[in-house]
Amino acid sequence: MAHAPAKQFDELDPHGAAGHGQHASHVIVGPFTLRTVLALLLFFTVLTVGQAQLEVFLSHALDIEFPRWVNIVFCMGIAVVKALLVMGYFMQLKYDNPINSVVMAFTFLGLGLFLGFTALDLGGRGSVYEWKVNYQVPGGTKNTIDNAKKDFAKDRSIQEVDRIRAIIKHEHHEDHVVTSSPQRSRGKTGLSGALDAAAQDAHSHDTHGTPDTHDAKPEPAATPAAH
Amino acid sequence: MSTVNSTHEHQSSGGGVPYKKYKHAHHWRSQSEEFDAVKLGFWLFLATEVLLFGGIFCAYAIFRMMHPEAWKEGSSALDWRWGGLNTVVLLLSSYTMAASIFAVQTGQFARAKRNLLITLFCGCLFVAIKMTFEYIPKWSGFFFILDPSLATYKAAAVEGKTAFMGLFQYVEGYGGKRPGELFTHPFAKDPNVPMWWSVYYSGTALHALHVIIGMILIARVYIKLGKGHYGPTYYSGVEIAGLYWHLVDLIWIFLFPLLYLIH
Repeated sequence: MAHAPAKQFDELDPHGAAGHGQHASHVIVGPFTLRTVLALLLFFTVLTVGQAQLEVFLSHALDIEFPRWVNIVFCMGIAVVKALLVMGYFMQLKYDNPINSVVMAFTFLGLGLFLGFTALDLGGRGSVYEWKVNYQVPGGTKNTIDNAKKDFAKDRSIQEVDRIRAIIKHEHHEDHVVTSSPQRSRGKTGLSGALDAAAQDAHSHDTHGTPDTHDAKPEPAATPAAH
Repeated sequence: MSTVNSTHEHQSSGGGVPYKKYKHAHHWRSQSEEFDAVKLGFWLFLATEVLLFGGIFCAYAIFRMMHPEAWKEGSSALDWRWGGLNTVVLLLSSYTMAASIFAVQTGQFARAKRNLLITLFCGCLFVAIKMTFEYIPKWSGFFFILDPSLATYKAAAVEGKTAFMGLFQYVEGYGGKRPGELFTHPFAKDPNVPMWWSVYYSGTALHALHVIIGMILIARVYIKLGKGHYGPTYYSGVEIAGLYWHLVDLIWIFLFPLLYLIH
């Protein structure tokens, strides 16, 4: 009596109490397949290393500059192929219940969402804080965050902040100065204070003490309504 | 073959090592269903592992976009030959792990144990190469005396300054490549290079931790195999340990080009 491989369990004896030894109908991946996959993986490793070194060699010896994306696409493409080989044959996704493949596919989709939304966020930073636009350019600015804010303050020739600073100076207020405007319901604290300090440096003001960056200093009105 | 249903009943197999007849948990209709459920559960866990490392890949992508010069400088400090060797070691270990599963499925227990031992050895080799030739020189400046790259730094080697019973030789100006605030390498050209080292160490160290966890799992499987828990009718534990190990290999397949090859 042949044991039908597609049968999950014997309806008359589901728990195998009669001891017929329900062998799992799982495919056994043989050594030939495993060795072939190993050989392919090693070949692709050599290929990816060779491509990277060839690119370096060509750029040094023959002055041929490849566009940056060539290296990335090639390396990541080979990595994806290797990953598919490992997942399909070594992890036996090819022979398994398709639900496992679906789980992994959705995982990578989730990862894509993760990276995608992060990229969207980074790309759209300038829409929220204008000074972050210049800090977030491809190629980098070789700048620090404080310098980026100072440059922004310099470029925009902050005036409103000076006016409020003058008021503050006369009143000898250093802490918790709340300034409000129709655009704001409360004074700004924290990082925005650094912008004010930057404006102060830009206009070389004399202050009564060290500028306290934790003061509630208003950010220069960069909203369209204020211009 | 025995037909008595008992967890303590031993069956002999083609390999000569007796193994216990497995009785699946009673809330499953069959062993086959239990095996499928175990695998699905573990694939769900592997999904979380992929997302864990996805976070690090995301950090890599963001900070590479923001500081490409630092990334160029940082990745040029890595030697692709050690990374390549580690890749080959892990690929081989993946093969031996899959081969040991095959051996258990066909009842060849001696072959299965041999392959598991080779997998364990490859894991140890991976961690040893990483620590000796990559982490320790970069962190402290101490090169292993048999390190081939030590020859290129002969001029900067401080005579007499050795560590660990003379096995490590100090090279001036090489060490200090540490993450973030701990960075003390004196010849950094880009101010954002510590960020590169943060991403490098967090990615590779988390991966090395997973290698060690994988080795513990494989050791456990090896011991249980010796006691006769696994056989052609029940090898879930071996499969699960294999899945974890293959995931470790998978992650390195992505880490290696990102850190070592993309310039």
